[in-house]
Amino acid sequence: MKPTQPPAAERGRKSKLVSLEEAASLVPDGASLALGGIHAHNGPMSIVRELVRQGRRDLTLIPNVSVGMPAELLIAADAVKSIYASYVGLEHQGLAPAFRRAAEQGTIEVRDIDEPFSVYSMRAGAATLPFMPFPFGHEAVDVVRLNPDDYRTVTDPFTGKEVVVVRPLNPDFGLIHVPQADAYGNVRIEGSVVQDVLIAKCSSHVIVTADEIVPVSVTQRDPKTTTIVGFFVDTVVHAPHGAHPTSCHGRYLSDEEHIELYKELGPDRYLEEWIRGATESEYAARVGPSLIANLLEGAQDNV
Amino acid sequence: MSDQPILAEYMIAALAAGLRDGEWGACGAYSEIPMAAFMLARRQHAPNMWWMSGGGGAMNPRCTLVRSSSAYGTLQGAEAVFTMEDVVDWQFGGWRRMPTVGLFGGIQVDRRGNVNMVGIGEYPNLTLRGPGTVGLAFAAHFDRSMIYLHDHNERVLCEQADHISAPGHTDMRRKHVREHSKGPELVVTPQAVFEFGDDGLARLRSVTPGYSEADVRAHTGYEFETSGTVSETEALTPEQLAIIREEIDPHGLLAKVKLGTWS
Repeated sequence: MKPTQPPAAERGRKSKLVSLEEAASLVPDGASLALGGIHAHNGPMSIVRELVRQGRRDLTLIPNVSVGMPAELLIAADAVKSIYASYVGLEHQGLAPAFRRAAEQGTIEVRDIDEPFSVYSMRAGAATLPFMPFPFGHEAVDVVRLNPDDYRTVTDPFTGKEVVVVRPLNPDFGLIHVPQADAYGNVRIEGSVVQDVLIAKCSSHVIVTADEIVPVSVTQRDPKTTTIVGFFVDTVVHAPHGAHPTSCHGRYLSDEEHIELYKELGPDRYLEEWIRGATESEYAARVGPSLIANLLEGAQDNV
Repeated sequence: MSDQPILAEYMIAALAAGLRDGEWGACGAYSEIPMAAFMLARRQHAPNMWWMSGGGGAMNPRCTLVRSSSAYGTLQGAEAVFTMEDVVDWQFGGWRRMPTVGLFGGIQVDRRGNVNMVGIGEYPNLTLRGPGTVGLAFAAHFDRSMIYLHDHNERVLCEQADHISAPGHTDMRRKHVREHSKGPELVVTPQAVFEFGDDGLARLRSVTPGYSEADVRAHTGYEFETSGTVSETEALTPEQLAIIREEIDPHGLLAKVKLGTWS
């Protein structure tokens, strides 16, 4: 099929592509960040590493429902003041050591939330709803009492019963890693979306890092497969293997050995050896093209 | 390979036997055992069961077993993929359409089936910070749930959970939770299977071969009654072992799941 519009129709249209360094420098100290992906999959790792290199401080994290390395590395680097925590851990690879240490020593504020909070606070933020109610029954769960700042109750005007409600959230920045995007911000996700579209809708500024940048004509050939429409996206970065060591669904698997290496070295030594002491291209070279090629092969082999 | 089941296989068969044809089930992270239970049940007595590999949202995955429940492999051969918005909407309201069941674990499970994932100690000054509540709150909305644990010891199986992420059989459940949601039915550990009596307390139902009721008492942090005579947890049939080892887990990932052995 031919593109529906000739390239001339795009004349004068502004590209949203910037370098990784420029994109990270848009994020000021003290900003709130939504982090896309889930567990060891589709994490916005390249921009997380760049924020660590640039020494960002006092961030508030509003991650996806089950976050691993993206939040863990920012916490390890003392970049985080506060985190909305539905789940912070490394799934079958264990607890997240820097998160645990910071939470137990009280050096970060942990706002305990749960999966429905994560989704409904973002949905409320996206639609500018004042709050979002939960179905009856949630009062039996402790998180409602542990976090009275974010969970409240109101009287349901229809039934007169008390109902749990949660606040809306509009993160300053949404950070999402995807397999494919064009220069105007249209995104094609090839695996699980989880809440990446929702993050794009509720955040005030969305930065997409993409393994591959394609011409808009590729988007136009099959618009039904566009997962996030370009006007939700403010900034696009070409970041090959930018999800490593998490997976990029459809492109490469999570690098569990690298995550084990992080645990063995410990947060402080890992940051010095792998992130602060290396640019992103040096990181990629060190991880090794052959390793990523193996992971790529694995992804096609349905392991 | 030995025709003796390994501990993970006993757990898989016990959970699978608890799943029903025609219901909808979900598991979350660190879920090799419940994933295999869903796969086994669908191949045996529950061909009309729907199940979701949590996180990634794959519906009725047909992949061989993977370690991460949100791995890309779960999508290949699945029938649909939920977004997290779909997951939350459905797990709140899906019970209107079909029976729903959740399978999950935690860092503490008490005698009333309350599950804690927040941490150990007084909030907010926890002595052990857990990963967080995630989807456990859906235990207040699913029709029923089953709990699985990788370790059976008196710290995990405790008298009273420090914080309640998934409500068990409590006054708070009776007061607030909608009537369709009945709470936990089973607690499956490497060494034992508990069910819940009418009083809402865990009762020992069966013990894994190689262990005794006395062993279980010594490693459980609360006193418990038994359900009649405690039996041995049923051994897997040759057919079940063949399905697990040849079809569900040909790469032998279950052997890598760390389970407490008391040795």
